[in-house]
Amino acid sequence: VGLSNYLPSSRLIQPGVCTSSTRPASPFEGQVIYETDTDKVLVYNGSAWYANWNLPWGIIGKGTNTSSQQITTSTADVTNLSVTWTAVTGRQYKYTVFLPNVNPAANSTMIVTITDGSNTVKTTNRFSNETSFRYTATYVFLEASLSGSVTRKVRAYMDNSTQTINNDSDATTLFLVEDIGPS
Amino acid sequence: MIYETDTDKVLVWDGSAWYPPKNTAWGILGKHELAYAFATSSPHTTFQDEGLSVSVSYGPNRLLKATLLVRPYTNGGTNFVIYRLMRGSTAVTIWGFGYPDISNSEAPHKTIVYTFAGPATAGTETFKVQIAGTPNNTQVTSYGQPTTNDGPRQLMIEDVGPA
Repeated sequence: VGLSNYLPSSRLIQPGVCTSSTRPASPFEGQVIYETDTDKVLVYNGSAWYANWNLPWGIIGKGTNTSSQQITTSTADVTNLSVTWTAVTGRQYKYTVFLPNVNPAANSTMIVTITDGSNTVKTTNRFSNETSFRYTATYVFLEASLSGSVTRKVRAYMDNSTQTINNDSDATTLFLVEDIGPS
Repeated sequence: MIYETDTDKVLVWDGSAWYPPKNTAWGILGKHELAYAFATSSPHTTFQDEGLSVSVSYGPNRLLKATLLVRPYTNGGTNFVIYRLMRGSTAVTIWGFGYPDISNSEAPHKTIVYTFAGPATAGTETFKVQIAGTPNNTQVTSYGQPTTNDGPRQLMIEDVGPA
């Protein structure tokens, strides 16, 4: 039977329990804390507090849109599908693009890119269909070797016609950025 | 529980080995990326290694997720393109693509996500991707290009939690 069975928690030393504004002033490498105001478990790596380094840290940010958008032969941002975050060196990031209701012209191709904030292309994806049936355009892409402030956004254009990304509350576009673990 | 200062890992002893906490996802286990194409050789209906391959160490009784970004194309004529994911010598799953998705004089991108239970014991095995054409014995191709062009094909294996 442990000491905590006999003493109320208020009488016990609670090592590692703090708030985000009362973290240890002189932490040691490997020290683990729990922040009661954020419910975060963090580890000190010798220079900063991070979540467990060898685990994924999950969602970084997302952009969504519920309004339809015309895609033309000129490259343009897909509305709201942009995320800016502070990347941590040594981590890997996963991008998920989801365009659930593309209304195409037959024999057309939509070219969807992920770019940085200056429109430099990081990856390109093509979606085509010989029919005019609606389809879902989705893809996943990985990127590592990032650090500092990073912006990634979704842009699109058509090869030979104009088509619509139909959006509503049941078919919302999504651009998701996740931390999936150490690189 | 231990913290390794050289790897920054937090690990827990489960009675027989050190693992990350078992009640959480362990994240990415391995990935591979190729910026060139693979075209089948005859007989095209036989599965052939298309190049994506990664050695992965997994824990016991974990749920794993494979994500594959590819650009299949039926350059030999009307056909279907079949992809197969292998864990060692064991087939994990198969995906197929055909008309009208990939017959518009284009090799459009396709992303496939598949979640499956890993073995009951920990191990290290090679996951690889194979490709074949069906039903016709005509060439099919798995495209990949540099990010400055249409981008690479990718294979990623993640641990998404306890099975």
